[in-house]
Amino acid sequence: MKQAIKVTKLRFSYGQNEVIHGINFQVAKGKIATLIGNTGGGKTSLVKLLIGLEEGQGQIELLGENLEALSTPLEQIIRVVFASSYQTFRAKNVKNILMHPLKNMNLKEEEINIYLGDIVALFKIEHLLSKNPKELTKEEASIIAIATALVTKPQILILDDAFIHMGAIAKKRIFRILKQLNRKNHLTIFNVTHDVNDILYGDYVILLYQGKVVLKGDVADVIKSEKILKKYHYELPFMAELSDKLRYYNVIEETILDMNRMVSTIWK
Amino acid sequence: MEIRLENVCYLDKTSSLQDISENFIENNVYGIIGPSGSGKSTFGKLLAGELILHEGHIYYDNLLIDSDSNRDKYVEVQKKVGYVSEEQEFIMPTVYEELAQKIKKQHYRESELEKRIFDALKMVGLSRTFISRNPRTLSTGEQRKLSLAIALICNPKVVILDEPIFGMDPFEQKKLIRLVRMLKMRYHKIVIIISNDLDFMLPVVDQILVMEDGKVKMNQAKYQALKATRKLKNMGIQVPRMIEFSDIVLKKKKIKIGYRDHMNDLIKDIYRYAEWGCHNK
Repeated sequence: MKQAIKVTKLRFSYGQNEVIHGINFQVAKGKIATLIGNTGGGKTSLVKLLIGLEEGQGQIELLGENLEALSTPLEQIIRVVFASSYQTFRAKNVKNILMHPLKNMNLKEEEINIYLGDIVALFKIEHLLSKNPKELTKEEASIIAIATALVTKPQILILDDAFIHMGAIAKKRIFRILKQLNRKNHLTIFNVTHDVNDILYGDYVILLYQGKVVLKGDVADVIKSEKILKKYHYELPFMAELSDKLRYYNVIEETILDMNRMVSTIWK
Repeated sequence: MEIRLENVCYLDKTSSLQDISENFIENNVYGIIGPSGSGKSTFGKLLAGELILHEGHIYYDNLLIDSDSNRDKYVEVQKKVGYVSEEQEFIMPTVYEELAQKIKKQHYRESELEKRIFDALKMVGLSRTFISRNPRTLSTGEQRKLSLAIALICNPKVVILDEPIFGMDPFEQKKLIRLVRMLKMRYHKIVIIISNDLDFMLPVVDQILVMEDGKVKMNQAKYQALKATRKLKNMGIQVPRMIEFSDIVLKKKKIKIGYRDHMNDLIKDIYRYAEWGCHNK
């Protein structure tokens, strides 16, 4: 399988202080990977390394090409949304914010409108287009930040705490859109988060602790690694823990992560 | 210490608060929740004396703020209230100076100043080695802790935390909960937490205020507030998953499980009711 992100023996230091200690991991193309890890453990440094904002030692490959020698412009391959991305909005309205990344792509005007129209329809943000970024709630602004990252149709999307300003309903809605892009366009998603429940949205999990990868694997395997997660102060996602315990008491036979299905399985 | 609000109103370009009358009493932890844009942060800033009151009265014990109050009054409020904003900006080159600046008006001797700074850092769980770091190079979670240290260094009677857990991992969230408990139990402060993370809040708050469209829609003891889960969910607030689960059970099977603090109690309930279901067949 082709790897969207391949990191080999990656090291990184702030001055004397090494924050990433030679890590290896891969995210296959078209997968959703979730990265969890402690504060100051190197998560954001890693994200910056992946887009070339910082330079470390070791190797980073995106879609099989070395980060330093990509054949396509970086922003068409990979885009990042940070928790604070919305604070960098400079344009006078949302439409201009969304159009900004397209201007560097040498597109004709009608093409720009197609790209723009696609993203507006997908995220249902028509009603926000003429608003000044200052008039947006943080939730709306965070949605616009994600939409802006996707407007150029990159193949990899990195989300670094990008959901913290969203309520539960908005977060679910945006995740549904992202999953749709993941299925249809094979968008690879790398979600960096503190919310352990997020891992259930994805396929693959990486736990980065104090600059080392201490756990990685498919979601189904990771939720069986309760001991390792606990060691690093992570609880299992609620449904994973509930499943686990009910299986132990033979109330259910297999892991069930969907609440509705769980209820109808317990009370057949 | 008591904060009493009477018919408080506030309006600016992006936010408004309408007719808020609530009380905050010492020895209590309050959680303020509500959808994005509901006025939570504005409310927090207003309580912290960071915004000018347009209408109504706020009493901090005997200190009254109303639309006629001058700047000195607001400075008085800021002394009583330690406020941790969601987006703190750091201006000094080192953590030490950032903290020292906050108490420079007190003119402490160097040794006393140092002691206060180390105490504040210790309280929030930052080690002494941080003093020479540049605040802007700290990680998000570390910056949050520094903001908290800055708020606590003046020993305020009231502590307001706006989205305190952004950027914090679960371990640090637990430490923050312990700190909030200590502020309440040992130092008898009023603590106000503004957040949408009920999972984080529940273990530590006594009272929950729900805001929507610039109004306080509900102000109840926490277990009472939790009964209105459907309402909270419709506002886009993530209710604890255990409550969500119990809700589905109630809706689909008419079986009342209720909120449990521990997963094992929930399992016992399920086991009992599931078996009962089998016997009934």
